[in-house]
Amino acid sequence: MGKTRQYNIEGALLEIPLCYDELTGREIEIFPDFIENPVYTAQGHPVLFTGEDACTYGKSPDGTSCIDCGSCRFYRQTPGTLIGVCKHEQKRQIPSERRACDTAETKPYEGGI
Amino acid sequence: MEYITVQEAAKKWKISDRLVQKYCAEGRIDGIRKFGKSWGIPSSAVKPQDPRKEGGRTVSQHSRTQPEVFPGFMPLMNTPFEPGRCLDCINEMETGPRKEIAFIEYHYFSGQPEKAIQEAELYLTCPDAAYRFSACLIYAYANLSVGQIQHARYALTEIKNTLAANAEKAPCVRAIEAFVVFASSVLLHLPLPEEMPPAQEFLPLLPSGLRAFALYVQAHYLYLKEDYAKSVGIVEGTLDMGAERYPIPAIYLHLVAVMDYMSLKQTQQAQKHLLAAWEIARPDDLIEGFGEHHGLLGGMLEAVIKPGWPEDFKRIIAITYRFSAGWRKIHNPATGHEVADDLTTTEFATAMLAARGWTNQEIAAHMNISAHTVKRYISTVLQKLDIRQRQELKKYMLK
Repeated sequence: MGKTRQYNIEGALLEIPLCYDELTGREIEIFPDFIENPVYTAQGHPVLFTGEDACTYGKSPDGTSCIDCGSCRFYRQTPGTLIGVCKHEQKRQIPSERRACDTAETKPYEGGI
Repeated sequence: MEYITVQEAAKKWKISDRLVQKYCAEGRIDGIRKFGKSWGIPSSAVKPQDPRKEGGRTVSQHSRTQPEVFPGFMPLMNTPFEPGRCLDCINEMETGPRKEIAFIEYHYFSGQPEKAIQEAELYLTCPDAAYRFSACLIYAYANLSVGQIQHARYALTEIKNTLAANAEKAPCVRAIEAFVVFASSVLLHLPLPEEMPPAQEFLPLLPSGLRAFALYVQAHYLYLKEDYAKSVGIVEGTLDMGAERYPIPAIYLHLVAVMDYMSLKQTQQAQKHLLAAWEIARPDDLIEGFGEHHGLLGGMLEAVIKPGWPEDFKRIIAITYRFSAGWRKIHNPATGHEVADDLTTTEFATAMLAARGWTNQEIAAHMNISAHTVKRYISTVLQKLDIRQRQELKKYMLK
């Protein structure tokens, strides 16, 4: 298995694969599809990529609609990466509703698209 | 109006059918019309004079009513020909510098910058201003494609100095000079020089083909000002007025229409213009413009050309990589606008659309890829550019 970077995002343990980019000479994080395979924090908030299309609850800080998670006032981006947590209550899945997600640990993403 | 066939005109004027066809293609007969693949010639039309007695020009009737200036300036751009007959058209030109300049143009517009540079070098200090300007213009752009930025700068400076130094010249000469400066500034997204005369002063003085290309530059200028509706109006109007007969300007006009319609999110119209440009360009392999405009075409090459013509697409992308690297080396320091230079063409196309407010789903549908793939491109772009949000993408994209 190739190189990975690990994050603990509010109790959700993620192992993000890295891919070396020859053009820039840097390691690029390859994120899984958090919409198809949701990941939740210990409190039940979804972990999302900052560039995810905005959902129906999305609002920018000035109250207007926003285009993506990154521009939404409910989204808290984790420093040093492009993923973060959506704090909107309607998106939260309370722990009792979840099945095997309680450990919040995810399998490493294998890089397929 | 009554029309006669090419054969009838040939018999009437006692010349070959082929010569009549040539006169028609060059727009040298008043009032001709195209019926399917054949020309209709007004029965009252007069046989065109021998071009050698006209100074070797093969330009439209309109331009022949203009004062005789610079017949050797960008002759291929200024010559009508049927798609697929570009090389025949050049080969039929009288041997001499005009024909050689036409070959330089052909080599440049068909993605052969090394050849164009080699041939243009011979004319960079030519005493004939028409040949010199043509050579400088092509030399500048061809050198961008091969990464010889100093040579490109030299040619661009020569062009600008000439304009500044010739304020007393005849209006038509100034018009050609203004055309060159206008094209070289706008297409590099640089500010127009102070000496630049207003477009309405020089556009009417240009012969038809050059005027069509100048209107493409004007439309591109308006596009950069984000006045897309006006820009596309210029394109449609210019094409309606017969610019389609001049393949090189027509290709570029259609491409700027693609840029406009993509900015207006009218993808069907954009696709229509892209295919129109492709239909004109492909038979003669005039693919350079597609590579040059890749970043501004909003993923349209990936959506339309890649699936239908994968081998041509690869060649276009190779042109994009070569050209855009050189283009940025001139553009970024001159404007302070850091257009991203370490993205792949697909990443760039995706990021351009994202920067313009397209959602991942919209980009995915347009480029025939999955939304997850779009997100992967965008996350890669954000990481390469060291930015945290797609809102910041605009700073690094083309306008």
